[in-house]
Amino acid sequence: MEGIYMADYLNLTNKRIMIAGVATGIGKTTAILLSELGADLILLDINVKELNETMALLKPGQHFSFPVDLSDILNIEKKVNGIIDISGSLDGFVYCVGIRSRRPLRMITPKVLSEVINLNFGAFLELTRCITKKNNFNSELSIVGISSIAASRGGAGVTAYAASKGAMESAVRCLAKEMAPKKIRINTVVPAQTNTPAYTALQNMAAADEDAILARQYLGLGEPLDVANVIAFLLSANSRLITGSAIPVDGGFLTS
Amino acid sequence: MINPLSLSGKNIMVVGAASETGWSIVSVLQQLGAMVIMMDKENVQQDVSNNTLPDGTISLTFDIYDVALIEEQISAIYKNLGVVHGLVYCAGIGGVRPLGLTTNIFATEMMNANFFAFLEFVRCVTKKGRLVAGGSIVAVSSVSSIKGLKSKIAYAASKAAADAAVRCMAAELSEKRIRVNSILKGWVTSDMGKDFIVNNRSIDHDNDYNRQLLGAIKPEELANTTAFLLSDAAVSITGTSLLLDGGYSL
Amino acid sequence: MTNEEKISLIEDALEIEPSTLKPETLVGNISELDSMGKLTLIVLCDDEFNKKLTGEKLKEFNTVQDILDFMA
Repeated sequence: MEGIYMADYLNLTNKRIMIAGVATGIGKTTAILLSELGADLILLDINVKELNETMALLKPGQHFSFPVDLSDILNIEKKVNGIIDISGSLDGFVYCVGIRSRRPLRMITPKVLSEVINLNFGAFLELTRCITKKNNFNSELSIVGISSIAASRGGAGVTAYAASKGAMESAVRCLAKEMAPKKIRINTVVPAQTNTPAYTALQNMAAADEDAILARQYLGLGEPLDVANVIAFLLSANSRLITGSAIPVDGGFLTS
Repeated sequence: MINPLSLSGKNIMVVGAASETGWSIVSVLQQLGAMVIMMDKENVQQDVSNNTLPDGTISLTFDIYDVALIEEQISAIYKNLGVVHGLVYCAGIGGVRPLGLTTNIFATEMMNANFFAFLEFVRCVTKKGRLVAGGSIVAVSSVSSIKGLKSKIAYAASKAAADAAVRCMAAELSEKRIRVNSILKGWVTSDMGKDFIVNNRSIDHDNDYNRQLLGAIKPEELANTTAFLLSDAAVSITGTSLLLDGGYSL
Repeated sequence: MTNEEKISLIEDALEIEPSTLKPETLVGNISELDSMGKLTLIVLCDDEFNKKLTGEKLKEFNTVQDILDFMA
């Protein structure tokens, strides 16, 4: 078949990809994987120590790292422009930042709700808005957000978190349509239970109905690499026709 | 024959009552026997000749999008009426804006009116002793929640946030036998819908509007669907987003 | 914060009638401490006292006094 080169499958050599949220879990594993696939990375995280630790684990390349507090949304534009001035325009962007909020409805005060929505969704939208401005990206830019089964599944204690992910998935559907003429694709991956420090922390909380979720997630607990692999695919040219989608990486949960 | 949609003896809050859509809902609920507590920034349409409110209604005017005021208003209603049986959230703002102009400030304003305020109303009305067991909550959402449209990012996101919250609240409140649902409306011939159909349709969305195969949706239809979800006819329906879109999302 | 104030906070968060809980009340007898109730307590400890209460730790609580001591 013309144009298919198996040796190049998932080759991200010289692709410049920004990843927000690389300290732990899916973000960290994604960063390492993408570097192995040849990408040049721009790592963003609020935690300097962990930012440097992840940086040290990357396969060598033209990598940059910047400590950034993404909850400071109104300053994102300035920071992004500064970063891209240094690093060059983007071929990819992955958003792995989020608060795994778990609260009963009664305790979701306006202040708490606002924080969760801002960091899980608002900053993602603002970063997308900034990196898709002229000269900040290259043709065939691919953007991936990390959603969750919570976006489409109702559960007690996760209202704020679910709302933030619902907002992300919905925005992605609109953004995909709107940015298509600029040859930009945008998708989300939808993990269920994935073996990360955030998951372990939630296991320690009461009212975790994690076991009930795992029962429906019949392929068992996911690993960060399972999700990172799909992110890499979505960033690559091989997913050319995929946009506006929410791709489950959920061990069967959503259809179970 | 017993009317399965009867709301006789029920006290129902309608947030966003002053809009054309809100008023339709108030009318239908009141005709089905409910005592309707109308809440909005301004007084709802009143009987012009008498300058009075219709029977079976109470009006509360305050900034419904100022989340800090909501607890106090709901507490006052409870003190006066003793009990609330239902809540309808049909307030919210629309808006068409391309990504470049979808600043965080704009997106937050949209999120506040379409989701934050809604959640705060539900949170406050479901505090102990307020919304009764068997109570019903309905949010007016949009087909934009599930289908992408250009220049509607902030709006679509805010509606999807509300719908995701509806599913979670349905799970969490099921113990108290409180149901929570939303309605995914297409283009309704009132308020924002009218504005869109008249002014914005030509900008790119004509093909979209034609996907609404059954044509125009009237506010009364939205009101009837709301009444259905509030009523005992829907006693096993919870956590769902009911399509009222004339076939748009097919 | 005094013990009375802490108890008040707990009663409010769990929607328990004020002045119901006493330091000697057995945690196991508090029906409002179902799964959502436990989550409420965990969030309360974090929000108000900056203490991370885990499910494991919660299982060790015998009386309300144990909760008050944890909140110290």
